[in-house]
Amino acid sequence: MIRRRFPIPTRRPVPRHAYAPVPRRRFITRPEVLAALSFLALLMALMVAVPVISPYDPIVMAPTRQFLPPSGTHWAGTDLFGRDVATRVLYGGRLSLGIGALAVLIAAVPGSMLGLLAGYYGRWVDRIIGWLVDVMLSFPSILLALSIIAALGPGITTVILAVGIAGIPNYTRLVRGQTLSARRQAYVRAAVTVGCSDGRILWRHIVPNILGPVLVFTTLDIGWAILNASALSFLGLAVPAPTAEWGAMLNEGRGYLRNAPWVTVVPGLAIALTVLSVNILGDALRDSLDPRWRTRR
Amino acid sequence: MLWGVATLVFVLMRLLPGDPATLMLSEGGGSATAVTELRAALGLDESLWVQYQRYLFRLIRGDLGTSLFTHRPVVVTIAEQLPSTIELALAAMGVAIVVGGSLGLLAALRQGTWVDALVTGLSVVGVSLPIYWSALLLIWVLSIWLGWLPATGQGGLAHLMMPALVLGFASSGVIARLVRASLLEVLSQDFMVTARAKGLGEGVLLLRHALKNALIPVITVIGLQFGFLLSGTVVTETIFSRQGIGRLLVQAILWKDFPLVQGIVLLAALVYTMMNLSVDIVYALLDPRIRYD
Repeated sequence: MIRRRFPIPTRRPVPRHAYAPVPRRRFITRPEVLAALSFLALLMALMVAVPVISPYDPIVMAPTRQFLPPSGTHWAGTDLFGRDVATRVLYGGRLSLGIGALAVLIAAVPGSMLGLLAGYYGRWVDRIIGWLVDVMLSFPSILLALSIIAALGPGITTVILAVGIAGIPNYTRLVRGQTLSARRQAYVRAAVTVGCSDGRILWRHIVPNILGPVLVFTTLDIGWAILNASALSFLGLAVPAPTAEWGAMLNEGRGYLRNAPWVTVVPGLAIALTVLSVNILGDALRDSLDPRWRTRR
Repeated sequence: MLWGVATLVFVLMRLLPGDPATLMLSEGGGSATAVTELRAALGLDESLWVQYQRYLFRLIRGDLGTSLFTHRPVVVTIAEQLPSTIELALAAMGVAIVVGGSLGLLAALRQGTWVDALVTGLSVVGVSLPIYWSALLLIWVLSIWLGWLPATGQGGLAHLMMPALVLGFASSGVIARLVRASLLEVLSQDFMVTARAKGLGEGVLLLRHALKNALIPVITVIGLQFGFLLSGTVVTETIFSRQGIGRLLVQAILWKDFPLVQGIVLLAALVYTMMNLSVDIVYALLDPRIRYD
């Protein structure tokens, strides 16, 4: 008898309608996706409602309330200056998520447009853009971001720009590949034959067909952008002192780990759970949109 | 490519709207005369083309200029800090390969079980945790609470363990996922069925046939993860107050020491490019199919 310690995955037949659009139910009903969506929805709601639901100010200091542990009145305790940590986390979230979202926008729009041009026109356009992308990818992204901050000086706008620009080559490479393969498809050749302009072919035919992978990558990239931007903020390169921002709050709290660990733990947990939720959504979206993953499951 | 990297660093430092001399003197409220003098001292008053030529000539001679803060050659300053960063990056890489490899292997061999689900979950958590937060949590638990390891500083294995664990764990998630996917792909190949049919033992089957083939794509990712580790040292060295080029870079940015920033970024990009090149070479050596393409 053959002893099998590990199973050999069998090749399952491709089910009927395997490449049909994925029913929405399948994406939403997965428990981890539900949890991630609920967490993000709750966080957004709290961030919007914080001026109404919290009696505390995120900036004004209250020295008499310094380092109070978590309690009924201060759910996540208070910091060195007596400010309510939960309130600052919610205000800080607006800034951290805003920085992440804007950075992704700065990376995705020009990056994708360059990728479209390189993939569609090929030849020298592709060679020049490809060379630029290779050079930019020679820098680990955070180092590229740090060099941009070095040149422009620290600040929120600089961090958004730096994280955004550092992300451009990833989009260019992805979209170029997708455009290259779409360009060879019959529907694009048909559009060329009937005399469509390049702009119309790119916008009406290629873009809608390559949007899926770009959407998945963008979702996952939001997580990376939040992590990178808050890392730069943690290093003291983004926001000035009293401003509430997750990375900056961690930096403020790290000197008081022994006396008041909550000042560090709570904003860190906020970053970790947000990025985890975004990554779970990105993974689930990829699984739903990529038929190869579906048939393997 | 190296020329392209050197040029991009030059462009970033010279063409972006921030003027180095103004930025450097901004905190002290430098007068217009002081800015002009500093521009002349740095050679910034000459045309960009002349600056670029001089920059490339210096680079070819291995001259990265003089630090404005320490007044010592940038090459010497970097050379002093580099061994510490290499030590940390290699240790973290070791942690990532051992942890990521074992978890990926375990998940593939127990596909579809709770072990697989746990490993997949852990790998998502691994890539989602901010390094600086996990570092602070580890300091809180292992140094402050239990008193097992020193929180900050330099020297010896005890000081290296926490930074390497933090950095390595962050990278191990990606490696675990890839080892799992790659091994599952190989296990379903026909040659595995053939090898099993000719009566090979499970150990030989796994080591000689499955892992040998499954690890080829993993090597590429391990090489690419080196860039992540290099970036990670910036934060890790700052938190653990370790010497190294990562921490030096942050300090150089805060000191507005442009020659030093330029030198470190250039060096990091060169190391990263070389690493990617060696990954390509190793890949071709390991997989004969690549050489035929």
